[in-house]
Amino acid sequence: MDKEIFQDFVNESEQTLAQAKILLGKYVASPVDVKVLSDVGILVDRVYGTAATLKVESMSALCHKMKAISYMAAQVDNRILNSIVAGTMLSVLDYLLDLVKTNALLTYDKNIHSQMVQRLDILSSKFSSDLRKTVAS
Amino acid sequence: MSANLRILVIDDMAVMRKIVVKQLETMGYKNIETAENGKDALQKILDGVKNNSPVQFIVSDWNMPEMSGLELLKALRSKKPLADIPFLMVTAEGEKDQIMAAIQAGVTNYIVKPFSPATFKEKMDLVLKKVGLPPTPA
Repeated sequence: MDKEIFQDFVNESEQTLAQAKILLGKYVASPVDVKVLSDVGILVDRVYGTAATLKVESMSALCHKMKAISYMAAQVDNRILNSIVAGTMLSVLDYLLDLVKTNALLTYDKNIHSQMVQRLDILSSKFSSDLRKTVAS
Repeated sequence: MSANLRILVIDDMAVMRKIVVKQLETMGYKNIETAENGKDALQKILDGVKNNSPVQFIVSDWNMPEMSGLELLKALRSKKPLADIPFLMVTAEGEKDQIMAAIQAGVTNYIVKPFSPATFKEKMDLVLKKVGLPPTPA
């Protein structure tokens, strides 16, 4: 992989994920505007596209799942579920930002990564199958 | 002419712009410009018409702030001098609704992220053939 492009990716994804974290924090503080969740989906989708193109699987798999979950959450009026969504996604974002900051995107712990994937899969299963079809989750 | 085709690459992610530009350069293109979103791109396209140096091919992401790829496509297709610019839309995996909307709005072709350089070249050649332009130079 081109080192310059990879470093640009690291810097850009760090900024974008930090923005997503700020938005989720706002939603947790005041869980009234579900549009915030779709805005989070747009941000993680941006990171997903580049991560998948560069084959940075630690980032792409989790961003792909978070994108689907945030788009689904933005379509339902269920504050309890959406609070769990926000909390879980905040912890996944912390994990990804930690990988970025410790330069571990390519040398990540597969077990921890699997646990994160599993948490997002469980969360995704809480939404109806019809909703899941709309976001190809 | 083929290598000098004026191509505009539009994506809000700087890294993605770099990746696409590098792939186009590998295909032999030399006249590549970039824009961060649809609004920025539209201005560059209009400037190109004014300066007699029109954009001849667009590779645009869908999901962008200010003006999305779809909004840009619709704006172009409604303006006669710009309506025929070949437009390759980059969409996310599994977004069938996005693809349908782009087709209805008159997109020339689309490519789904993530894509390989070979797939990108194939799509470029498909679009070029469809609009009667020479294939990718390299």
